[in-house]
Amino acid sequence: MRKWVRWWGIAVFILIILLVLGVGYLFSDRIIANNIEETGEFFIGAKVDVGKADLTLMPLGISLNYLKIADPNSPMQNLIDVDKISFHLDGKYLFERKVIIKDMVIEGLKFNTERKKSGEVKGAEPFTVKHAIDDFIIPLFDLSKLATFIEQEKLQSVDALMDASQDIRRVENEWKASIRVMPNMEDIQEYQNRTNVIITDIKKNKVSGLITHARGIKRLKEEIDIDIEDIKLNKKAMLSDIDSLKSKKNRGLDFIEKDIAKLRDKYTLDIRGFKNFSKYIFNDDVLHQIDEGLYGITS
Amino acid sequence: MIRQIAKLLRILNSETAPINISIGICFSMVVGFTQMWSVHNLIILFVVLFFRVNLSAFILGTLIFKSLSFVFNDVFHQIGLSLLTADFYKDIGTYLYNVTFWKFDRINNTIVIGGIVVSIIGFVPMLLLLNVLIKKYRKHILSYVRKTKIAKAMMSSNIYHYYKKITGFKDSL
Repeated sequence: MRKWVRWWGIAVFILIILLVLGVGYLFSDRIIANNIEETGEFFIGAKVDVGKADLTLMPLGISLNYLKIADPNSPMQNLIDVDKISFHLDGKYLFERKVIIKDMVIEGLKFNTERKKSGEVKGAEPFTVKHAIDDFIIPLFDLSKLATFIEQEKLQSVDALMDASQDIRRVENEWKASIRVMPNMEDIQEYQNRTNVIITDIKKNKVSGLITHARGIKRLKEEIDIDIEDIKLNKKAMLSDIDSLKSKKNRGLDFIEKDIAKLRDKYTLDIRGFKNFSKYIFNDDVLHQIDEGLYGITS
Repeated sequence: MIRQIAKLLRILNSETAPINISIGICFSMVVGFTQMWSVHNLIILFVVLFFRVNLSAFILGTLIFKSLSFVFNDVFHQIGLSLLTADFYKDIGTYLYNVTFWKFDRINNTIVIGGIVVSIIGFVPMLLLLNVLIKKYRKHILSYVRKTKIAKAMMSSNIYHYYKKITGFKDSL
């Protein structure tokens, strides 16, 4: 074994890794600032200044202080002048070369501020968004396709919510009709009046009053019992309707979550998603280029 | 650099197994032809340090192949581009791109994949060729040089004995 391996090699390897990481972290602030400045200048064609960049590991995030982006058309002015931008990144996605910004705070955002020094970059060709739109993107967009994007999706949540909405309307109409025939306050008031009359008479005439109103009392009781039974039945029916609507609402919400997951899977910007999404936006010649580009070929 | 060349020559002339030297050079070809700070190169660095691969050969080879890679960048780009756009590679490439390790290794870059392909294809032939060359060098050139009068005179001199003593002492350390 000793003939083939050298154990101190592991220590050297760990040392090299620690050294590289340590040096990288030590200079990370300057490296980040330089990268932003260089890339920004390449895209904008004017000076991009980062006063200070600060990388934090726990939680993973970057904050940029005094970011100034010069206006390529008016070099003595800043297009954007920000006192501080800070954001947190989702670290696990960095291993997949994806930059997911979880939250971002921008402080002191100003436009068209004066510069002390010219922001002109000699010989720079601005690769502006406008330039990109004029030359490339806009003529190739087919916005009419965008409307079909949702239409072509068979979303269960839409069906479920339509179904629930129809049910709500049906139940509402049924209950409006039921309430009309159900005993109301006037009926109760009438029972109250009739009861008062009977009680007053009984108080006045004692036993003879009671005999006189015996049939009336019986009829009043029967009517009240019928109404109570009616109210009980309606209450039961109403609870059943509420349960049914609740379960339909929950079903609709479940379907919404499922549909969101389905759409996210299908249209988020991974290879399959971008391919699916792009067919609703771009023309065929661009789709062909996207098809090649989706394999992420860079040089 | 001179120190590394001198070390390599010393190792070539020593009893070190040819495979140790040639495998160091072959690994250096992979490191040199691909981007330095990539995951596969870290694995190679670990292998080179952990196993008894000749470090001088590896370091010198890396310097040479890294310099050569700038010359061959266009070739790597062409090879990489033709591979990445080939129909048969689409499915494999898509699968690999969705594996974090390979995505992190930037195998979607034409130059990186071109360099990887060239160094993988060239690895075994280079290993065998270097083995043969080292053996032939030791058998023919080195034995011839040792037999020359100048070499005999130098080897019998006091300076050479002192040198042997010092290097022997260093090796024992």
